[in-house]
Amino acid sequence: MLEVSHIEARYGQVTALHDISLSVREGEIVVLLGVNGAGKSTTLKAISGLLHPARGEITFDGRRIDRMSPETIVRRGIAHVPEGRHVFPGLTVRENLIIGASNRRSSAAALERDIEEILEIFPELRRLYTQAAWSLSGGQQQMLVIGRGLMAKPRLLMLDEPSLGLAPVIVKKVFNTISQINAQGMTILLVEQNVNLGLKVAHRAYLLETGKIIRTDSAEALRDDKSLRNVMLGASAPAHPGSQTTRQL
Amino acid sequence: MFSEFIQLTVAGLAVGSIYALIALGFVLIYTSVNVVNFAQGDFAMIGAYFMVSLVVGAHLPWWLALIVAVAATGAAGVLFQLLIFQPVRNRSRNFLPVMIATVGASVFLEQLFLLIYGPIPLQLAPIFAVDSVSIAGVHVYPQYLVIIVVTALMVTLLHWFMEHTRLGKQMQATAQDPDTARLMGIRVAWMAALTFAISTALGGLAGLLIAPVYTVTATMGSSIALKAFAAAIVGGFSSMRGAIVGGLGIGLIETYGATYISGSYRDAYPFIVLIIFLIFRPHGLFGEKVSQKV
Amino acid sequence: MTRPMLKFLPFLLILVLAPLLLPPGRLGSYYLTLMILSLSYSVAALGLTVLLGYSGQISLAQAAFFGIGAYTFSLLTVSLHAGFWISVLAALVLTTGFGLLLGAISLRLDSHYLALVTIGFQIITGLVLNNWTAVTGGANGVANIPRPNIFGFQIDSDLGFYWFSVATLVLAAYLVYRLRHSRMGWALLALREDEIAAAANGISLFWTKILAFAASAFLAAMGGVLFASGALYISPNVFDFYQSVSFFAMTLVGGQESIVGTTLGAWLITFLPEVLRFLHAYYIAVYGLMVVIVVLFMPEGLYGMLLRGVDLFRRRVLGHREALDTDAVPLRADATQTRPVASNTPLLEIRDLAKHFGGIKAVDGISLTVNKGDVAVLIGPNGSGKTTVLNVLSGIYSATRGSIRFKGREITNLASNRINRLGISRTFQNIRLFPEMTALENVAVGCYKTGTVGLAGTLLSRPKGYREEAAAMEKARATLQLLGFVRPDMKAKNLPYGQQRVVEIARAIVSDPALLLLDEPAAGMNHEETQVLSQILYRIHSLGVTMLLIEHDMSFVASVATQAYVMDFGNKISEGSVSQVLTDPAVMTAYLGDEVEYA
Repeated sequence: MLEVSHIEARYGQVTALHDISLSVREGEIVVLLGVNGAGKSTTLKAISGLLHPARGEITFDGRRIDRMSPETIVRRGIAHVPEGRHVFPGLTVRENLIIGASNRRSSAAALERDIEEILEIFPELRRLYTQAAWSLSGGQQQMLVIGRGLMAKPRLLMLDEPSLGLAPVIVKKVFNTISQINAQGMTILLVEQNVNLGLKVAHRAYLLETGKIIRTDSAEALRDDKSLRNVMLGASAPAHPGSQTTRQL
Repeated sequence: MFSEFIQLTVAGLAVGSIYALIALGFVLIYTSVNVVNFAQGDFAMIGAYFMVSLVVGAHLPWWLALIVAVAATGAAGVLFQLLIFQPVRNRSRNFLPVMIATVGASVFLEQLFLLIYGPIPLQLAPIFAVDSVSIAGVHVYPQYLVIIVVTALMVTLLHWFMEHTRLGKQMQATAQDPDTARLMGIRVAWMAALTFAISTALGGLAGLLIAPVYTVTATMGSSIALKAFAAAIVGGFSSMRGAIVGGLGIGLIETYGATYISGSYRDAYPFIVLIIFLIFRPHGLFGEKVSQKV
Repeated sequence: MTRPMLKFLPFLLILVLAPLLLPPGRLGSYYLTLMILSLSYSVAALGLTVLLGYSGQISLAQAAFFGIGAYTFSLLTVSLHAGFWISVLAALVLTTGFGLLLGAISLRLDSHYLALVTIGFQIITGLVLNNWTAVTGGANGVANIPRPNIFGFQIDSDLGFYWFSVATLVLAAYLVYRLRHSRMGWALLALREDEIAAAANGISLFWTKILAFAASAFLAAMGGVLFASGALYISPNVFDFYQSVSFFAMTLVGGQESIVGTTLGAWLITFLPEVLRFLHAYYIAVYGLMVVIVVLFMPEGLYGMLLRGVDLFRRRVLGHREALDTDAVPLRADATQTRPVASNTPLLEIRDLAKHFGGIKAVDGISLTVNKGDVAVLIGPNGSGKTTVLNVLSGIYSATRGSIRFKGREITNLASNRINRLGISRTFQNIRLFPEMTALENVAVGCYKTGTVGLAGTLLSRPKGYREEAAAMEKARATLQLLGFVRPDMKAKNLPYGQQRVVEIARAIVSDPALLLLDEPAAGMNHEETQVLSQILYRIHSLGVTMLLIEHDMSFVASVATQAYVMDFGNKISEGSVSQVLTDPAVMTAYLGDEVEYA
C-alpha cells in the first residue's frame, strides 16, 4: 500500500534521514521504534509531505507522492496525526472534528454521521463536545487529534507518539483504541518511543538509529529480544572516555 | 446640552465604526499571518476612490456601486497579498522586512492614487440626500446612521461567517496552526488570500462609508488607519470583539475630546489613549500575554 | 585614528572636495544648498543606522526628533537670543530626553506596536509644532536662524557651512563607529539577532534598547540643528511623517548597517527628486517602491550590493582568494587531564520547583542538588519537563512555585541577564547564536558582562575601553582555540551545525561561569562528533566548571556525567550514578513502558 524507498531528508544542514526504506501493507499496524532523534517523526513528515525528501521515492497505491503538498496527500488518503497533540486550541471539540474532514466533500448530514462514529469510539469526547480544545486535558486532546485524523476517512493513519506525556492509564486507553480501529480495518503506521507498548499493538516493526533503519522484524520476534532494550537506551555503542579521538568537529 | 451630547455620541460611534472595520482587518491579518499590514488603511482610500468612480463616473446606483467597490477593493487586496506580501514573506524568516515592505507599499499606493486622481479632494454625495433627521428631538446627520447600521450588519455577517460556516472555521484553524491545517487538507495559501480579501474589503467599505463625511483624498486612509491601529491595540490585537470595542471607544473619545477639550488636537487623542494603554495595560482589553517559546 | 577607520578616508576626501566641482553661478549654489541638506539628513539617518541597522528596532519618528532638535535650537537662538553652542547643547539634551522616553515606552512592546507608537509620536509632535503657535510660531515657522561661530570666526558663507557640516558628519560617523565596535555595539547587535540569547548572556534588554533610542534621537538632533542652521528657516511641514519615511528609506536603501551606505542613501534620496523631475511631486511613490524593492531584492542596500560586486570582481577577474585558515588544531584527548572530583558543597539547590502552563503541569515539584564539581545530567522521556526546568533555572520562564538557590543565594524568578551575571551560563536546544555576527563576535558577546567601560568611556575613546575590547577578543579567541575551533571570522549562520554548537558552548564558558547549563548538546550530532563533544566537556570540566546537562544519548551521558537525575511527568523518579539509574526499574518503565501491565 505504502512503499518508501531509499529516501534521504535534511533540515537545513542536518541530514535527518539517510536511506530509509519501508513498506506498509493493507490492514497492518507497523511501528517505527528508536531513540529520540533517530528520524521517526521525520519519516512521517516526509510521507505526509510536510518535508520533501532530497532523494528517494515514496509511492502510495503505486503512485508517487513524494513531490506532493500535504494538502494533496491527505486527499489521497493518508492522515498524519503529528506529535504533541496539535489541536486547534481556539476551536471546540466539534469544530476540530469538522476541520478534520477538510480533505473531502461531504454533506452536512453525512458529516454529522461521521462525527457520531468518532464519538462512538471516543465516548469521552461527547461530554466535551462544545468545549474549546485548549481546555482539554492531555489525554482528551490526544483522543481528539486521533478522532480528527479519522475524520479524514484515511486509508492509512499515521500516529506520531500518541503516548507522549500521558499518564499510563490513559496511554493504555489510547492504545486499546488504536487496536480497536485497526480491527475495524484501518491501516496504521505508528511512531512510538515506548518499545513494549509499540510492540504490543503492532504486527511489524522497524528499528531506526541516526536516520537509518537498522532492523526490521515481526513484532512478535522483537518482543522476545532483550538486546532491543540496549538499543532503546542508547547503550549500543558505549564511548570510551579517553579514547584517542583526534578528529576535529 | 444634552442633545449636543447625543449628537456627539452618534458622530463618535459612526467614526468609531469606521475604525472598528479597519481594526478588524488588522486583527484578521495579524492573527492569520502574524504580521501587521501597514497598508491596511490605504484600502479604505482605494474603496472610496472606487466608489467615487462608480457613482460619479459610471452613474451606478449607490447600492450596486457599494457592492462592486467593496468587491474590487477585496480583489486589490488579494493582488497586494500575491505581489508584495507573499514574496517578502517567503524570503525572510523575520517579520521586520515584511512590515517595512508594507510601509513602503503603503506610501507607494497613496502616491499612485494621487497620481491617478490628482491632488484635489473629491466629493461623494451621502447616500440619503437629507441634511439631518430628527430622532426624539435630536438632529442627526443621516450618513452617521448609515455608517452605524451598515457596520453592524457587516460585523454580524462576519461573525456568522467565521463561527457558522466551514470555510470560516477553516480560516480560524489555519490562523491557529497552519502546519496542522495543511495536514487536514486545508489549502493554506487560499486561506491567506481569503483573509486578505476579507480584511481589505472591510477597509474598502469603511472608506466609502466615511467618504461623504470627509472628502476623498489619497492620504485619507493612512490617518484613519493609524487610529484604527490604535483601536486594535487597545482591544488586544487578537480578538474581533476587542477591535470593535476599541474602535468605538477611540471614535467616542476623539469626538468628545475635540468638542470638550480642544479641536486642534483631535488627531492626538487616540494616540494619547494608546500610550496610556501601552504603559498600564500593554496587552489591551481582551488580549492575552504571550511569551516566546524557547 | 585607528587603522580600520582609514577606509573612510577616500569618502571623506570626496565629501571635502565635492563643492570644488560644482558649476559656477546659481545652479552651483543651488546644488550646494542640496548638498548641505544631504549632510544634515545623513547625520539624522545615521541615528537610524544605530536603531534599525544595529539594534533592529523600528522607528518612524526620526523626523520628529529631527524637528525637536531643530526647533529647540532655533527657538533658543531666535526667540531667547541664547548663544549658538549653548542652544546646540540644549537641543541635544532635550531631544535625547525624548528618545529616552520613547525607548522606555518601547520596552514593553513587541516591534509591531513599536512602529505604531513611533508613528503616534511623530503625529503628536507634528500637531504640537503646528498648533502651539505662541511658542513654535505655528505654520509660519521660525526665521533668521543663526550660523555657527567657532572661536570668534563666524561661518556665514554656504561653502564654509558645507565644510562645517562635513565636520559634523565626521563626528557623527566617528561616534557611531565607536559605538558599533565597542561592547555596547555587540550588545546592540545581539539584541537585534536574538533577544533571548542576548539576555542569557548578561545583556540587559532594558538598557540596551534605551541606549539605541537615545543614540538615535541624539543623532537626529545633531542633524536637526545642522538643518536649521543651514536653511536659516524652518517650518513644521519639513518634519512630517513623510520625512520619517524618507529617513527610513535613506537608511534602508543605502545599507542599514553601514555608515557609508547610510550616508550614500541620504544623498541619493535628497538628489532623487532632481533626477525624477518629470515625476513632479510624485517621487515619494518611488521612495515607497524603492523600499519594497530593497527589502525584496537587496537586503544589504545599495552599498552592500556594491561591496559584493567589488568582492566578486576581485575573486572572479583578479583571481584573489581569501586566505582560508584550514590548518586545523586537532582536538586531542589528553589522558592526563585531571577532572575535578565532585565535592559535597551544594552549588545549585532546587526545592519543590513547579512550572505550570495553564492546565499542563510541565514541571511539578522537582527537587535536586548539584554539587560543586559535578557533571549532573537530567534525563527522561520526551515531554517529561527537562527543558522547562532549564528554562526556569535560567530565568526564561518564571516558576509557578518552589525555590532555586545558587551559591546559597535565592535566585528564583530573577531576570535572565541577572542570573547570567551571577555565574550561570547556558546553551540552547536549538542553538541560539547571533547568526549575522562572526563566530568570534558571538563568543565576545559572552564577555559583555565582564566589561566595565560605559557609554561615555566608549565614545570618548578611553584607552581602558580599547584594552577591555582587545582582552575580550583575545579571551574569545583563546576559548575557541581551547575547544579546537579554527574559523573565528566566519559568520555564525554559515557554520556547519556541529561547529555552531561549539561556538555556542564557547560563548557560554568565555566568562568563566560557575555553572554551565547545556540543553541537549549532542542532539543532531553523529557518532564522531559526539565523541569530540565529550572531549570538549572534559576540558571544560577540568577548568573547574560545574555542569548540568540534558541529554538523550545514553552512551554520551555515561561517558561524561558523574551524577544523573531522571524525570518523568514533571517529577524526579530516580537519581544516582548513571549506571545506577539506568538499571532502576522505575526508569526502565518510564522509557520502555510498563512491562507488568502490557507484557
